[in-house]
Amino acid sequence: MVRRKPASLMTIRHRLQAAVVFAMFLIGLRHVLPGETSRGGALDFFCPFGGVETLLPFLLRGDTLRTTGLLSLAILVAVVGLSLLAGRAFCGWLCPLGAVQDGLAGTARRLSGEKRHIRGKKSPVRFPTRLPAALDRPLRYAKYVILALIVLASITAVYPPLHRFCPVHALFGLRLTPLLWGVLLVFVATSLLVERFSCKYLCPLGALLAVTNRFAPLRLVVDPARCNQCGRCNHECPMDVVDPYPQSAGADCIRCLECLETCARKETVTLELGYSRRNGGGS
Amino acid sequence: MKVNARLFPLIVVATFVAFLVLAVLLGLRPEPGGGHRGGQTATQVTLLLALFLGGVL
Repeated sequence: MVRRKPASLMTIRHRLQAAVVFAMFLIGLRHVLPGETSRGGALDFFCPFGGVETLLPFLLRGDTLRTTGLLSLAILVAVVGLSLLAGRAFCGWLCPLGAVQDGLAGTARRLSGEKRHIRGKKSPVRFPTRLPAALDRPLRYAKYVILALIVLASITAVYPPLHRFCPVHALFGLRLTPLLWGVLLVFVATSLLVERFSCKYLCPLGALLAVTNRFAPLRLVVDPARCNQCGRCNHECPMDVVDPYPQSAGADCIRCLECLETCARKETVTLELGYSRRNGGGS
Repeated sequence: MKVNARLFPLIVVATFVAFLVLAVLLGLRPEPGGGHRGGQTATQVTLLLALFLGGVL
């Protein structure tokens, strides 16, 4: 009997992401089908950021914003609970927007002429590209500003502040207003040009979860004595956080484990629970 | 303590589901009689996540 080779870690990640995207599609579809009473707000029910938007009004007024509910808060609890253990792993493994961006990055590579992606090798194609450091570094703070503005706006809001131009609605809502068409266009275009553009620069949920990366105990640890700084992991890192080792304790690591999967030297990048004295990826 | 990286997807999904169930059990679920048919929605979320765990991993 032929024994099947187990799926690689990245294959599992992509399957999981595909399942999340499919589930979001079903949720979006359910609320546009005839006979449903919902008016399309239910996507906010399943969105952890709906929980962030409705948290302050819930605490201050005892009521959730329209189109959100207690389930939004439950999903927020699940996302924050996960991030307390594993940092921004939600972004790397379970976020539907992240999954779509990963898919679009692959599409950009193929459209740019890459026939076969060789793991760890620098892609010869132009897109998706990386922004120059002078632009990249300040732009990474934009997501924190967006988070602060939305939380402040939520205090007096009736509907979630992001509701009208939320990329989740644009991708999965199936009822697009002209504004959401614009959001969809910008989201797709930026994701094709720059890998995980939204995660790096715009996502307010990512900004919130970034705080937990600093102290989440399940993290990647790099052994500097073994690492020869070949840069293979740098070519694969979707968040561009390899400097010179994967910086898993930095704000932007999404724990996708691409670096661990790509590293050619055994036991150089490892997943550890606890706080190591070795280079813990920038800690 | 080193963790087998192949267990990471399982850890991620199991932790997410555990906290979600905990939050729902603690009362963070849609109100009965609300516009979104609360109990049914919560059951759907749990079933979807169980489907991911069983089918994908």
